[in-house]
Amino acid sequence: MLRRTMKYSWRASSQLAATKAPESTSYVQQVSDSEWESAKPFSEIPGPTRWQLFRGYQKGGQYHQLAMDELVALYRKQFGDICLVPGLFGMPSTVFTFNAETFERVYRTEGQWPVRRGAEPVLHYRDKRKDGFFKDGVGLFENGPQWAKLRSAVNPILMKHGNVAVYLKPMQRVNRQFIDRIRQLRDKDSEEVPGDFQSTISQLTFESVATVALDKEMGLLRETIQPPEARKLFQNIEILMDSFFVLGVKPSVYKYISTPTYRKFSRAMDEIFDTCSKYVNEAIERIDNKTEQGQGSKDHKSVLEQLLQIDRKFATVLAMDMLMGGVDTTASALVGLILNLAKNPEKQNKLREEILTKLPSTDKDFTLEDMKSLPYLRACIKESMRLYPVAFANLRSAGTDVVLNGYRIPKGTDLIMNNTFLLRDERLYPQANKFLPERWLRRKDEDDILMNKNSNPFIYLPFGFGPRMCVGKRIVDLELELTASNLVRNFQIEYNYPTDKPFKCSFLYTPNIPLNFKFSDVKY
Amino acid sequence: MLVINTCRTASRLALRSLNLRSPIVSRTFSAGLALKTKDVVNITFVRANGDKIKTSGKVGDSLLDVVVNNSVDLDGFGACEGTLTCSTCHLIFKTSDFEKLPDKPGDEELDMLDLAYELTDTSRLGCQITLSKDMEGLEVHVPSTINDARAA
Repeated sequence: MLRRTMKYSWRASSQLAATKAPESTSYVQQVSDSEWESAKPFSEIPGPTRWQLFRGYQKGGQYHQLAMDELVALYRKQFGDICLVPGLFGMPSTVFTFNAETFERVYRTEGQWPVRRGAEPVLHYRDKRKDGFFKDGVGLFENGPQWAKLRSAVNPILMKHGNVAVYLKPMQRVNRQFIDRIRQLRDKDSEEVPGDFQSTISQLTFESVATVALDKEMGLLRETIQPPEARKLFQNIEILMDSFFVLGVKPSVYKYISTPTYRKFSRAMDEIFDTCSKYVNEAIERIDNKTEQGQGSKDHKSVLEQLLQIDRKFATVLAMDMLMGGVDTTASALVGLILNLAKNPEKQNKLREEILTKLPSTDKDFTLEDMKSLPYLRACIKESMRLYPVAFANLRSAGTDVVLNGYRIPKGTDLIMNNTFLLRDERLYPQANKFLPERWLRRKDEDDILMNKNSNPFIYLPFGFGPRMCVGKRIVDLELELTASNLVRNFQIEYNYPTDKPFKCSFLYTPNIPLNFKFSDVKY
Repeated sequence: MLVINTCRTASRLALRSLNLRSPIVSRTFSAGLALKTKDVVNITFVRANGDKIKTSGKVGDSLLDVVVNNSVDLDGFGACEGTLTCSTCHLIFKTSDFEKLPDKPGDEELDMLDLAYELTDTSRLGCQITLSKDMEGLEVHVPSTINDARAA
């Protein structure tokens, strides 16, 4: 009975409260009280004990020094499709799940205000900050109605297609700089770029985010002058990401004692905060001047200007979060895509053909209309994120009491949905280890055999699903589309080195090999 | 500060939806009466149990706007506010109506439709359908499972 009350608790506030739920064969009826009653209790979910876990992480232990994907693979091998990992040092316990039915159930029942954890170190920092800047809110890391209000305000700015036009132009400018930069960097004879090309890709994603979040081009991709402040911000983002994963994934007592890693993390956060605040304040001044001079046009307000209209503090917080969330992730996705295109020349040619039909001259900019009808490009991006996903899992907390794999999962339980094993499953994606964009083309012919139509679509959700889907999705989509298009219409891309294990996994997958791509000019 | 501002945002949003509803009020007073009546499109939502909800929207509104602006009683409908990140505004059209829709679904809409319950060959997301005058009298079916999917 209690469960029933919880199940309908938020609906009670709506107008439907008085009406009876429609009769159907819906999922909710599948999660009937009888299913809950007959399910095994939460405590019986297999998994390591606290002691095994603690011991496992020590030197010589079975989990010590494992990459995140190896650790999760070991859990799956030891415990099966569902596993309970107890929290150490006051961290909450987490349930890892590995099959598609559980992903679907979790997303379908996430409720009105989906809860996503996984940013504890950031929240801890914001909570402890001495000036109390985040006292009133931590931006989109909020949960519940507070999150919903912010997300609602941000959605029209960051997620509506209509607003993409606002950042298309600055992003194209940055993209052109990237192409020029490749021409400067590559060796005259071998036409290969240096092995640390990953940092140039990160500079591209950093610049792209900065044009959106800070309304400013930072100049990192220009050869001569790299502004020291921008360089520092870029480095701090890298330090932050490294230490974030150590704090967030491994057992740590940072919440009670300031550990060296936490201090490193905290220092990087301080500096990012200062730089972001400075840039946002500069932008405010710029915008104010523009308005005073009567140049402010309603139709062409930048993303930052639009965010500032919601709230100045919120715009600052969101700028930081975009820089933290949008640089490494997009860079990994881009590296995967370039690598796949380089290793599959016939697919690269097919993509080039599609792009050139739209834009025969290489110096012409893309319009939104051009971007709309590039199905092969979209298919290449999807296929690349299947082969080289950016994150090893999706995170949610259970939105209601739910039965997963025959076990009772109480509302609020932290869940990590590990889909990466399924993304290379032959039964779901025939020829799973090959880069075959054709499988995403939705044609009703021979390509159908490349995609098992009976497989659950909840397996492949690189940005998550529902109202809490990655808020940067539109920006990232555009960035990937622009970069891939500009690369293939300018260059023939090759990679002539082994690609056995191109990525390593902490929480994100990051490039693990030197990226000496060969960029030869396409002759027209 | 943030609280105050989010309240401000919320009230602005509320005001905006009031504005959207206002043609019904202003029609009586407005000089452009004829034009405004012409812009109204009548729509019927049919629930899985056969219940019909008659309502209307303006030319240029999306079917999601119609549900939101008229507070149509479809709980959980349009959870992502038309940002193409969920499939809760899934609607099923009659074949003849479906074929008449001017825009074919884009790739992202198809991706989200793949994740919808009770997907049919004539399914679309309501947030992507813009009302035009020739949709007058349109009847669309609401799959039975939307409510449950979100309220569970």
